[in-house]
Amino acid sequence: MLTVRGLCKSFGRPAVIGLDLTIAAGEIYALLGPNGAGKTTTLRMVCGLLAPDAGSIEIAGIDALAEPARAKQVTAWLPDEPLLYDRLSPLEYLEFVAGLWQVPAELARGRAQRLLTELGLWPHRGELCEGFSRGMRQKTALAGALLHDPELLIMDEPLSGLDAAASRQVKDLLRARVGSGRTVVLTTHVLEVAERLADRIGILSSGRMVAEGTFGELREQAGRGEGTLEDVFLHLTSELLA
Amino acid sequence: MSLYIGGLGPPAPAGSRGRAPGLLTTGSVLWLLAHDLRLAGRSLRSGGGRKARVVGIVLLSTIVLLHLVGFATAPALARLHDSYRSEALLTSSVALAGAFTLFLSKAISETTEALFQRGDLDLLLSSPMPMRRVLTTRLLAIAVIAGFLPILLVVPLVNGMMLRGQFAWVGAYPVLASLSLGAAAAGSAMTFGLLQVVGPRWTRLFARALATLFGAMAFLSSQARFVVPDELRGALWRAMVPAPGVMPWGPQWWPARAALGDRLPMLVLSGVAVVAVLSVSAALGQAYATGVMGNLAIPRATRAAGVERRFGGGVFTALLRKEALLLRRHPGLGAQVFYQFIFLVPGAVALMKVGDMGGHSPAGVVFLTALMTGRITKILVAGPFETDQAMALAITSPVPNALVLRAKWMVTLAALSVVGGLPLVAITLKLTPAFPAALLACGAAAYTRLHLALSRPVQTRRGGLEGRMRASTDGLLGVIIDLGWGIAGAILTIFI
Repeated sequence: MLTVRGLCKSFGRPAVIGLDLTIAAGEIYALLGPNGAGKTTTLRMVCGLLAPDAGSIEIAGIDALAEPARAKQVTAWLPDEPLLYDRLSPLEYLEFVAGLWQVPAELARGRAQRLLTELGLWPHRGELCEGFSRGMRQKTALAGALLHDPELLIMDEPLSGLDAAASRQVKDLLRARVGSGRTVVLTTHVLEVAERLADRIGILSSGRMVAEGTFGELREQAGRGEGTLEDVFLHLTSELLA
Repeated sequence: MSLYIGGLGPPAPAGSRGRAPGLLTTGSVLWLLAHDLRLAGRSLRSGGGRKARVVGIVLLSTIVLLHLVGFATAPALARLHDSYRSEALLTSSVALAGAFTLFLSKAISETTEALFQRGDLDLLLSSPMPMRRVLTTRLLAIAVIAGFLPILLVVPLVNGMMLRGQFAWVGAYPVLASLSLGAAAAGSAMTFGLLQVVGPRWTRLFARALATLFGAMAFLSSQARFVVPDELRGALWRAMVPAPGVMPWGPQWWPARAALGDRLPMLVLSGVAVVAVLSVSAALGQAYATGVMGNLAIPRATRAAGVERRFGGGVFTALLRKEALLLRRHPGLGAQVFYQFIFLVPGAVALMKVGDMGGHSPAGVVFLTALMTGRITKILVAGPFETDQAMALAITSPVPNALVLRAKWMVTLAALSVVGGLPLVAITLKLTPAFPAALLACGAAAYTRLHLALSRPVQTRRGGLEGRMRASTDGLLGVIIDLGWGIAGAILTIFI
């Protein structure tokens, strides 16, 4: 579903260095790393929000650098800080998003109702987003990201600010999506989330991929047979820093 | 509605891939523009029904009042148009040039904001919407925003003329629309040019200065007679003014001729404006996306200092350092101070000339300097006192509030003595006897403004009509205080 080769980006100093990544369809992939490791930069390049200095990105067989519009058609991006319009209601926001992705009206209407209901936002569909809590904003943005039924959903810290119930809702939604063959790539600092949710995990440090695999494979790489992902992560990243 | 979605929804109609959508279908430029304008409209109506009603009543009253003025002044304008003499063309040209510089100023400001604010760009740029379409919409929105007020002022005059049967004046509408479109395109091109030449770090400062300069162009032009030598002015005037009885054909007269109802210039002007917007969108669409996202991704570099030079000096030094750094990095401060100087300097030069001719120039210069000192104090105060983003941090720390405030005072006064000291030095050198009065008036104006800011602190993120009304009352009070100290200084100068 997503293939990245030799991806590089520098902002005066290197942020991402020769990154290779292959993520299969129907997979939840967690990209982990310390602050400033290059996770968000990588994801923003994949979504077409930043131009890479070098490398290639292929989404669902589409060269995302050569045909960005086609690649974006099958991708959704959910940033860490949900950027909504304060003066739009969730329903109006989804209407706008449907327009951007050219989702047929009937289809969009049904999906919007289903998503807002699943995320517990249907009773608030007519209220302006300005009065929403962080969690409600995050869920509205997620509904917007899912409205065009993207094959690849890219999320930066999707569970931050959500309460336990909302967090469970989102996780269930993500599992249902990968169950239907869609792909989810996410970053998180909550390692338990990655441990329980992700099929595969990649650990970035200083712009480079230092380890990749299932949780079990990472344990083996780190030599931490019974350790938690936190133990594995700290071991791998501190080893590199040392 | 014809809709398509690759691979997910119903199959795309044959031949629709890549084709631009119709004029008003979802995803079109006008659809996006309607979305932007809906948000702007709701922003105006925010604060509930009461505020919406007040805004509506004020707007409606203003429109009615302006229409009455327009209807009353229509006969005079009708005579101007009937004559269609060189004076009519010149007057219209000057008015349109003034409007264009105002449009341009606003367009540069808006483009600069767009370059440094993420806003909804994550959503727009991660969608399959072509970049040039997003930029075209932004340019149209900038044109609407830039043109709104000037057009609101002109419309009643034009309507008044038409009510009196002068239908040729309808040409003013497309001319103003063309000028605002052209200004949006030119302003964006200039700002992107700056981004290429000076880089993101300095673009905001230069662009704001440029916008300020264009915004004050009409005023500066009116002051040209005091600054430009008489011979040069005469030569320029002769070159500009068309000969009596001769219909000028040069392109510089086309906007005025279009506004006076000449069809060919009107068509050409409208065409040029539309082509300018489309060309800029096509040329800069991708640069817009990469420029904005690049700017936002690049962390603003600060001067690197070793860690050993940090964390020293105690509480008060930390407070002073923080206030000084934030004041220095305030994004709009330089341009706002520059704006004050733009208005002060030509006025002061004019007064000096009057003084050379035997008038009371020192009193006028002291008046202007005190007025400007008050206004600059207000600008400098805004950073430390009014828009402190982390005031709660200092309040919840074990540092006494008095110390926090003292640091703010000291930094503001230090900045004021540097900026406000310049005109005082000039007065000392040129008008030495007026220096004591200037010093007293400026000191009093600065002190009162500081005291006003301290006694009536205003937070930036206030909401609702009440907060805005209080801000505008404070603003009015501040202007009255500045004027009062200016007049006091002028009187003192005469007596000293």
